Amino acid sequence: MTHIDEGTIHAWLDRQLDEAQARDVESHVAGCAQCSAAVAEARGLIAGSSRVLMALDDVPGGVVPASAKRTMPSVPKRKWQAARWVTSVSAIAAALIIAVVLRQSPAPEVATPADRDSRRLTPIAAAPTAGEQSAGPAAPAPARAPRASDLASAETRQAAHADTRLEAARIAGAQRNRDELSTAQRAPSGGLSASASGAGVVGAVAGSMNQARAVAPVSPEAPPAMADAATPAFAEEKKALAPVASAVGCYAVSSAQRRDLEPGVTRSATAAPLATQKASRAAQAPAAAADYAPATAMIVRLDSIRGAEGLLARLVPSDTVAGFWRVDGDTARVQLRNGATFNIALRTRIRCP
Amino acid sequence: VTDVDRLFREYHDPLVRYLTRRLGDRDWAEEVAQETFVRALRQETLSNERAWLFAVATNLVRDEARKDARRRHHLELLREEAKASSVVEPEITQLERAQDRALARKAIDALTERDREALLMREEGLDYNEIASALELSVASVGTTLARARRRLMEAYERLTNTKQGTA
Repeated sequence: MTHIDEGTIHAWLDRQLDEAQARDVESHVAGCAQCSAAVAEARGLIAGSSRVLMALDDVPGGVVPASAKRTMPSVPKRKWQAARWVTSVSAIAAALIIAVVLRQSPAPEVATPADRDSRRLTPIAAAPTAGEQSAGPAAPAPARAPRASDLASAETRQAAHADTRLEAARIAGAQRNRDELSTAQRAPSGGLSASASGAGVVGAVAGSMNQARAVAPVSPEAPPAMADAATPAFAEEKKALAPVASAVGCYAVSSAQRRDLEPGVTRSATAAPLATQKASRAAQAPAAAADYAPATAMIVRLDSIRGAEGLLARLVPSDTVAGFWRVDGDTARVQLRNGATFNIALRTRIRCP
Repeated sequence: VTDVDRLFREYHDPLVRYLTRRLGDRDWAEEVAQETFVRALRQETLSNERAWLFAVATNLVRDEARKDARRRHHLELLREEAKASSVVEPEITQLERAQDRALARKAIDALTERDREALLMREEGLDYNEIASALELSVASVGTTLARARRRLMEAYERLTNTKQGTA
């Protein structure tokens, strides 16, 4: 019998051969000094590789400066721009703000300071090509992977995508910064909205009296003053809202709604140690109510924007999920995991941070 | 995908570890992982979800990782960071760990892209079918790919270690 090739030996040691193959290898190795030595060597290589790779885990965040990361080609610029938060009004200085993100319609292309900040957050390098599908330039193409759903329009996906990126980066930032930033530090200075990270800074909320400020001490490229320019003026939403899944944006809510919302605020969760977060995550029950069907319900995240003054809810594919919601006519019906439910009139949309 | 929560719980940690090893930066890895989950969210269904997630994440970093300048920059920054943060731990330990890390980084960078990705995926527990799917390889070639990757990694690592000792 010919000797067993190295690939097969590794497959055997990785327990990736079927039973018959494994038996063949085993019996051959038992009687072949050369292959036996090869197996011993392969064991050494496997163990050694694992050990070497483990050394790579001891890597702090923020190693790559934000300027470098900004060139990450994940989303074509055009798509990101299409995902701008919809502009709208209201003079909501000290009002509650709820930013709700759904799978959503494209926002109008209006350049604002906040938009510029957003671009800082989402690093983009690769020039987009026209007519790209949502998968983008670095699109996955595993042989057996399902292709992107084409039910939703590309724009819808882009919008949801971009907003989620914002949130995702923000969460990452909050988690990373939890040691450096106490809740107390975070809340008064714009908290979540201004939490910066190696990945960038999420634009801050601000009413006419609120100054958005970056808090993040981590990234040398995101100095605290950076977000000062992002003091948005709230402008009234003029365009008619689509009836379904068209609620990317921020909403003003009444003080009565605020009482319902507050228990869902996850600021404390993002500030908590990771272990606590994991525990609370495990404790979360799946969304119940039948009329919050998965097909239309979106995950909601609520965060305190500015201490007691604001709340922010965003789509997030991760932990600290506060609840679910769906759009029903011109109303977003929200159900938090703590059981609280409330509605948000979509026409109260305001300019997002 | 509607059970993003579950997907996240199951795969976030291995995916981030994979990406951290791949990129050398945990923040960046988190960012790519989040991006990956966002894309999963847009999928109607995922039949081979772990392979899909790793494939997406791999594709997201691939183009960038090809840029050698970036990688060299990583290494320089890693070294800088190691020098700068020797406060908490005893200096010698800190230094040793930083050196280990730098060597491991150099060694893994010495592999071809495909070998590196296959190896890192295997380390996260993907089976040969999943690796084959994610990297568009034949299942039969995964063993050979991994054998070569492990051998080259160890050879590069030992060569680097010897060089270090030689200069020390």
